[in-house]
Amino acid sequence: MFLLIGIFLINFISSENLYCCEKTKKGAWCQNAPVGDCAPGYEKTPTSCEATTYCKLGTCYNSIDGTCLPNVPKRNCQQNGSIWHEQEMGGVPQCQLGCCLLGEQAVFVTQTRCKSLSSMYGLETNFRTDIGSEVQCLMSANPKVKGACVFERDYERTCKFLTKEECLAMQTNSEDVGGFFGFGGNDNEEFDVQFHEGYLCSAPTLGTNCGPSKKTTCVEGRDEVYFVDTCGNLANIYWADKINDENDYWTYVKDYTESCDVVTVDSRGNPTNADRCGNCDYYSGTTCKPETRTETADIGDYVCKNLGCSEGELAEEFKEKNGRYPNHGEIWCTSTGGASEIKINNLTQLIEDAVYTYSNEDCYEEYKKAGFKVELINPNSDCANLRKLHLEIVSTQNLPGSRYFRLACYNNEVTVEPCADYRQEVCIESEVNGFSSAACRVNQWEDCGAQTNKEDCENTEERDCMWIFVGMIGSDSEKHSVCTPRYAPGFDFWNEKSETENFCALANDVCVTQEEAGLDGSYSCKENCDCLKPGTAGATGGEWLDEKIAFCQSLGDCGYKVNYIETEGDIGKYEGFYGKSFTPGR
Amino acid sequence: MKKRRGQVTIFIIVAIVIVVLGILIYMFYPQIKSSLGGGEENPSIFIQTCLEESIQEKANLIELQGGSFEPEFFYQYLGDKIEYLCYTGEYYETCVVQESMLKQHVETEIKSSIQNEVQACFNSLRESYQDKGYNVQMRPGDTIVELLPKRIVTRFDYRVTLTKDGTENYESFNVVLNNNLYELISIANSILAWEAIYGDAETTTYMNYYPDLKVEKKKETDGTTIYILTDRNTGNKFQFASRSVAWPPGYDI
Repeated sequence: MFLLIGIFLINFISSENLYCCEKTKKGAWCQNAPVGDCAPGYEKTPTSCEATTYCKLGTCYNSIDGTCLPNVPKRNCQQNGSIWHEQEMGGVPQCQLGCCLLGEQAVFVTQTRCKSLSSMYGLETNFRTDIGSEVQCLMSANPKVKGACVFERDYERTCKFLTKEECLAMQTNSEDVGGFFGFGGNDNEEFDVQFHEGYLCSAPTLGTNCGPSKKTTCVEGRDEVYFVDTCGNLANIYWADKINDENDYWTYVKDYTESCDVVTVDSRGNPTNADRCGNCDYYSGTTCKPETRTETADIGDYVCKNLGCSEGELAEEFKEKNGRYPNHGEIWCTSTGGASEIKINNLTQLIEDAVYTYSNEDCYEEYKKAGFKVELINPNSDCANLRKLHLEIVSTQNLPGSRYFRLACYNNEVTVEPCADYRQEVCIESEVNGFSSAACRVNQWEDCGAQTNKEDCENTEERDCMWIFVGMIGSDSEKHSVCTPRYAPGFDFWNEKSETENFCALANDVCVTQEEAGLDGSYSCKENCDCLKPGTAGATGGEWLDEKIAFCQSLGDCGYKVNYIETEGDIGKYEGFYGKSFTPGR
Repeated sequence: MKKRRGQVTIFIIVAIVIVVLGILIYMFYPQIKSSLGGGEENPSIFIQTCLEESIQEKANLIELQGGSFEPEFFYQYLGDKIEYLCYTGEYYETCVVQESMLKQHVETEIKSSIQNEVQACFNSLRESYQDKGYNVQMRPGDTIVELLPKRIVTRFDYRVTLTKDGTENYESFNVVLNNNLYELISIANSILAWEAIYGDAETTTYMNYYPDLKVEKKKETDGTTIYILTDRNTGNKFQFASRSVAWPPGYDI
């Protein structure tokens, strides 16, 4: 609770009046900033930008290309000739998205955008408002049925693999046909073509000069390896077993489901059956590429290549941890030195394990009262060991400068995405069927201090906190536990304006002991003897300071720590102020 | 024997001529090209050749700088000045879109960045044809840059009349570059919408939809996010900055 009070006070003390600057001196539009930051010659009002007419945010509809953008200041939008709406994007009729079926492709855009794309690509469109999601829209893309377009050229019966429209266009526009095939066009000449839907040009029944070949190719925009016939037309997906199957595989157009099994990647990172099958699939981690020395096809020069990542330090690190290289599409977490283990439950688990192993009777009572799950296993172990371990966990994880990262393997390349600095985001990772995925998500530590019981504190759906034992608070003889961040956040403690000191001061505590002077000049402790440094005459516990240290360090970049590259902080170790606190007479 | 000596002499002379020609070509290549009739090329080709490289260069720079030739409000990232396309100076708040018509803005930036080169190339065209005895009439016009799928088309509405034995009229000149800036800007707009609404965008969604696209997201210490969009086939890049739902160190006050 006292954490929250502290934060509230900090907020209260530092509140400041902001202006809405139409433009700041740095060049940013519509920012709430101190008046001194507003650019001269532009409007400024001592209120929030939302309350002004010039900087009110809304949806900007670009009527030229039909795109919509949210959070656009009114004046900026209108100055550019666009239309500004106060409503959010979903409430603006022009911004309603639908499925734009454009030739053989589909995009999820506004109607105006659909028309704009159609004029740019010179394609007919079909805008469907009944398709409500992008995935559904992409699935609706319907490639036109192709077939063998048979005609005569140079007194020879030949063929092109085209759509029906393309084929019929050859018949109706003889000039184009002439141009297309390289001989002089004659406007009045009737060009005789026959379209055979679902047939390949290599079909023997068509009697053309095109036939099966051992050539293969990749096609732009498609994943698979395709056979090519002797006339250079596309045939079906490469399948070595079918090289001689003239009457079926080289006759009819086959869907990818009628071809060999999709080439996936096995547990060792090798594409399955890629030497004999070209049914590659981007989502399964393979795509058509020229063959290499290590990845070869039995027929032709192209092969389904593994898109996984097997080169570079990051891929090697993954292999070290998982025993294999990352597959295409896999996403995982990593961190700099000094950050917590990635798997979310590890830290709590570690503490609970520690209790389990080290408990003696005193610890048992203390920790049980504090809300920990404990089991009395080794009654003779030292309670101090537990506290030492507890302290070690807190002081060696989430060190200043440490940070979480998300790594992704796509197209044989690992990309690195840092999560927000100061550990304001943590990276979480999960694995389904051996395939890992990960995300940076907000470190929900800010309301830890407001939690008063372990259950609420460790509710991982609500927050990232842990329940730690802090022993006595002040001179109160009762033992306490508090809720602190599980992933201690970072602070900009080197910054003069930083509130680090105020925040870390929440762990400040004083324990007053009473000592009695003996006749020989020595002192012996009479009250709050737990607070005395171990080894001092009369000290009963000596853990008080260790507990304070753990609490302090668990709040964030507080107290004495080494940073993530193991450089020590410059405030000195605890021994220093420990001694000071215990100077007799103070 | 005499015959052989004569042959050797001819070979030597030929060799000397080749060497001299080589040196001349090396030293005066462009001038030689035009005086040897290289300048007889079509004025449209002359303009395409003259401006192509320059437009490509300027477009590449603009792509690396968030769509601006001289960014005004930018984040310095690995030596590049990257324009903020969405920004808030506050913590926890979503950003305010700074460039609501990115495509049109980029077109304007490319246009203004090449103005000097355009002038110089048309002057050069005039001189080149005048040197060849043409009477050249030129009426300067507007420059229109258009980003289209897979290409950048720059049209110069210059009216040029060449008169020598006959008259040739040219109403406008086009320079077409193979460049997928149009596609990259469409992706950037989509990311901006996510940034403005949610403060973040999921990069892998784009890489799943577009196999040839690489999307990188670099979160900087002050809360700025740099997005780098790369076409894996061409290496063409578009990068921009955004600051949205930034988190302070510790608690913000």
